[in-house]
Amino acid sequence: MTLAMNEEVVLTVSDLTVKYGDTTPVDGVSFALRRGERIGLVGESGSGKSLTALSIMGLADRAKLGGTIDLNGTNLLSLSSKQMTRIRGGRVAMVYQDPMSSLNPVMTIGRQLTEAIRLHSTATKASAHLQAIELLTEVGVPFPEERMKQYAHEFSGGMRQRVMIAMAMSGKPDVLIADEPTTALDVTTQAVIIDLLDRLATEHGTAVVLITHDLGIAAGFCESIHVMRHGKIVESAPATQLYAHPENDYSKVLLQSVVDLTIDVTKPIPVASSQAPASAHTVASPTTTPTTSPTTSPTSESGEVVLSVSGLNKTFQLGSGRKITAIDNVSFKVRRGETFGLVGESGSGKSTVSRAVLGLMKVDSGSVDFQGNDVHALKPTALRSLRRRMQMVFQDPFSSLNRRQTVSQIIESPLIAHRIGTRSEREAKVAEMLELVGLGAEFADRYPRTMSGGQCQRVSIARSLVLDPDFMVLDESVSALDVSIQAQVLNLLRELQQRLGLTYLFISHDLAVIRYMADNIAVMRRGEIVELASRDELYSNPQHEYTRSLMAAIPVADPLVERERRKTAAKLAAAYETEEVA
Amino acid sequence: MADPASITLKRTNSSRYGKLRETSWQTWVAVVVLAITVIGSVAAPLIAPFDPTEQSKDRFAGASFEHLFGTDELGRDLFSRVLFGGQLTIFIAIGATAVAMAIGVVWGMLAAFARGWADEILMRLADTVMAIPQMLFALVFISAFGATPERLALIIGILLTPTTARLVRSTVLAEIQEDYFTAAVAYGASPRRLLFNEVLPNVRTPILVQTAINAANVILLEASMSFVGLGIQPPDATWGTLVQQGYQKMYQSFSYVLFPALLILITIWMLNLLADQLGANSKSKGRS
Repeated sequence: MTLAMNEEVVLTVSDLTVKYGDTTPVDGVSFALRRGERIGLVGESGSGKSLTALSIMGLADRAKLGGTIDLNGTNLLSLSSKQMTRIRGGRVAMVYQDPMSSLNPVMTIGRQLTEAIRLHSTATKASAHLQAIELLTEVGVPFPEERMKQYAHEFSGGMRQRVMIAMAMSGKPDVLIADEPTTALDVTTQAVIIDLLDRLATEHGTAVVLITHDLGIAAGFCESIHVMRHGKIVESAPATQLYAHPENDYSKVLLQSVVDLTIDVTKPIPVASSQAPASAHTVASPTTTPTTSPTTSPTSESGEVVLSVSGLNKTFQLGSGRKITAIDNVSFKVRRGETFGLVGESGSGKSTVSRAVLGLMKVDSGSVDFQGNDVHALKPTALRSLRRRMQMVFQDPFSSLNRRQTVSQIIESPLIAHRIGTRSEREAKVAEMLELVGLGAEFADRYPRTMSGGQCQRVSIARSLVLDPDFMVLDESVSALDVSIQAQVLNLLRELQQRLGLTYLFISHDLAVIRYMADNIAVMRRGEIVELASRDELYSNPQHEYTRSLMAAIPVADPLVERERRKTAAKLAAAYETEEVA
Repeated sequence: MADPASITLKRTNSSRYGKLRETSWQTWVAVVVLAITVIGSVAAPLIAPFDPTEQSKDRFAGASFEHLFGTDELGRDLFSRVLFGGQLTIFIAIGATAVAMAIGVVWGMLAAFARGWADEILMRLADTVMAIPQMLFALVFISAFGATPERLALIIGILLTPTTARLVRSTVLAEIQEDYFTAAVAYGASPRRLLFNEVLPNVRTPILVQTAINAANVILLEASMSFVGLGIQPPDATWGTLVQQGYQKMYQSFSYVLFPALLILITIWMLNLLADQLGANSKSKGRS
């Protein structure tokens, strides 16, 4: 950091404003970047961090831009779009969140790379080809010569992001903007990619702007961090200082809301009261509510088994005739009042399990017994009435609500489907549900598109609770939410469980969130349960190597700890990645 | 606590008013022009200055005050013939569109809901119908059964059914993959509720757009069929028949072919404009 201080400033953004009509999503943002420095733009969705990056790249379409963006003495905002084309990818390059949609699916990786190289240099085809191989080797793509001939879909997510980074580095940029570069990746791959960015930036003296919502990742990578909210920078501080002593209230909230492996699982996650109105807790605190739930301790072996899954198998037939085993001999039991956690990375089969458990998907073999009913052997009508007792909350809060229905229609639908109550009784129940999830009756006539992700997820929870179910499947239900909202929804789910005596099957890729929520946990990998243990056992003494690498992969919101952790995690994960390639 | 019912009432009124105000001027133009055409044709017996089949010595007259669109080779008033011709044209347009939509929507939805082999059979059937050249299909049908307005509506409707079925199937399939649909299955909604309460409101717009496009296609197909002599036989006439007759006498009277052709052009244009507007409107309402 002291080294960076003496270096020249490469990029100065001063008083940047971005306007779309009447709204100003970026409002007076200023920061400077020295050669080789790494800064973080941290904030939740809608804070304007991505739009700031796009403005630097000259990609903020149809927006009115104000202020200046000074790159080595040139104001980028005064350049023509033709001049900007030369800067983009040359002096400033960007790595995007989704490597799949950023790569051309019908062009080989090699061709895309060589084209990018030739665009910003006078290299011949042959020398560009050699440079491309060199770049791929540098970012750690094995067998670069062969892989040049392949297409984007033949690469794993992590490998694709490496290719994107190689492409961004091909123009030897002064500034590299990485916009949520690891968000679409599995947690074990995250560390590898951040480690790679770290190494490249050091070797090439490239200044990096890391845009992320993940405070843990920012902690290990950035020298200084700018916290953004509502289009403004609310706090700028060196990383070590920000994490130890946040000044701004919002920064404090963000840091407190992070769910990591050290939080106390017996207490609600601290949520500041200065948050958006929707966070107002109308749900009575669990400690003051007389518990009506069963008195059995959820972790005990004696509780009544609500759900028993045994020997579940499911394979998917691909178009090419190839078969993929989604779940392989999966068995577990869920007892009344407990939260059973299912954790795994993408493709581990955890979502297939959730759909199989609810009878939303046929299985090849095995059985799902829900309170004495074999879900997969029931007749359609019998299954429909059984569905009153088992519900599901999905990951994507917008997709899971019908956009043509109002909130009250959405919550009322399950009641109508089961012909419960008169119209006025149903309306009363809808109002009661809205109160229960902390939204209030004023939301009854809103449409999903006018609401935030957190609010939509509350509606989704209300819809699943309206039939008074015993059992709920929560499939990545908080993964799409911002940290502070995620904390609120997790608290809400725990409070509801205590009050209503619910049993949860909680599915997540996030071991820290699972630790906070679940009493017993199954770790899934490639369709199999590799480890099943109680929370205390699993976290104090993980047996399987994969569980250990998952745990090591969780970023820690502490700059000093995080840097050390990432090094180890990257090494652990690299072992798994090469296995993937082979 | 506010009474939810009263809020619902207030919202409905304000949103209706808001919807009218949000309607673009293009939509208004399309709706007004189409309305004038339909009203003019339906009210032909009241508006038309002459009997459409009444002959006179005044042949191939140009446009004048007496004969707004001129007269034809038998001295019949073309304005009256166009108005009455509009009746038949619009009957066929509405009839054929109704046939195409009724069969196509059910066909597409069944295929999307059934999946698997039933979907496969229904879609290969659609491919089969689409593989037959439209004019050839019509030629055989009309030669065998003769051309009446009802038969024309039926045959054109059937010709447009497979494209409609395919479109409905793909839009419904997209909705079925949304989480809200899975959520509805998960809370135990009956197939009927899934279809009418969950899916149908979300595919309404593409279906409306397809209706407008189908209507435009019907008019075009009917005109082409009339042009090659497969349409309504004289003395009755659709716009297509009038264009065909006028085209043969183009050197005697230019207005003969001009006005019916112009009407076909304008009607199809307005229907396409309406389709564009309906589509654009739904896009701006969706979440980005």
